[in-house]
Amino acid sequence: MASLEFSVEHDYSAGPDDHTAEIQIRMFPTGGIPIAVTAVLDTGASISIFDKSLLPLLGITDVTAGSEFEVMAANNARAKAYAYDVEIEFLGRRMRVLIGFCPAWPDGTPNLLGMKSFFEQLHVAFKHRERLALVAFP
Amino acid sequence: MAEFSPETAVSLLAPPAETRLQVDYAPETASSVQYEQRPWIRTRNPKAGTVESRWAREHPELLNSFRGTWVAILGDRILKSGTTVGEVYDFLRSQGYADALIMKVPLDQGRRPYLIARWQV
Repeated sequence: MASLEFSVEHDYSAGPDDHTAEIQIRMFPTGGIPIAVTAVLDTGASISIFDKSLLPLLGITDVTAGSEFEVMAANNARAKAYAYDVEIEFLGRRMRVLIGFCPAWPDGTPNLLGMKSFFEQLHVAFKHRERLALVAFP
Repeated sequence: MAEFSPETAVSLLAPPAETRLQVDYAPETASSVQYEQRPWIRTRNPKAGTVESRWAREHPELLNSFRGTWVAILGDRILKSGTTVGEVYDFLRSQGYADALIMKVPLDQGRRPYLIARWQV
């Protein structure tokens, strides 16, 4: 039988009626002072998409300078997005993650950590009844 | 409420009891100019934003006057609000506040909708 070991248990509890695995990550703006933002562990997202409002902090003035791709939301609406290689810190581990920004989506859109690039670097399991994310960094 | 300084800010970011780290996350030696110039900034901080996020969830009434704006929260204090994230960040940078949680306060305090997403590359 296959088995995995996890080095970190992270409680993402936000109440019994909340079913989103929302966690906090650290980001490193060009201004030199790190910040924390919330993001959703979203295994249903093929790629990470973050709020475009964060772009200026990363020194990106022209979102279209990134690698263009298309995103499709649950309502089947398609939109162009642009990917960048962004350094984040998740549970103390520095990672470089391909993150897309979608100009058509409004400011304040939840940050989504998706399968491509992010979950490829981790082992994650959920004990959702206990609101626990089990994480290993292989 | 306690006065804030970069030093006290770091002390407020003690690990919450509910997160159990079973590996050693001792900060690495500062190696970049960025950290050498600001030694109070942790090179790594696995708890960044967790205390603040919980505080925001537990005190929605204190965010009412900030709805629709960006805020920076450190510990149990809203340090700055503004109409843009850049405005808020500029304040943090000018004051040297590291690891503050930056968030846009939702206009609606009501129950959050279920998020269902499937994105395609």
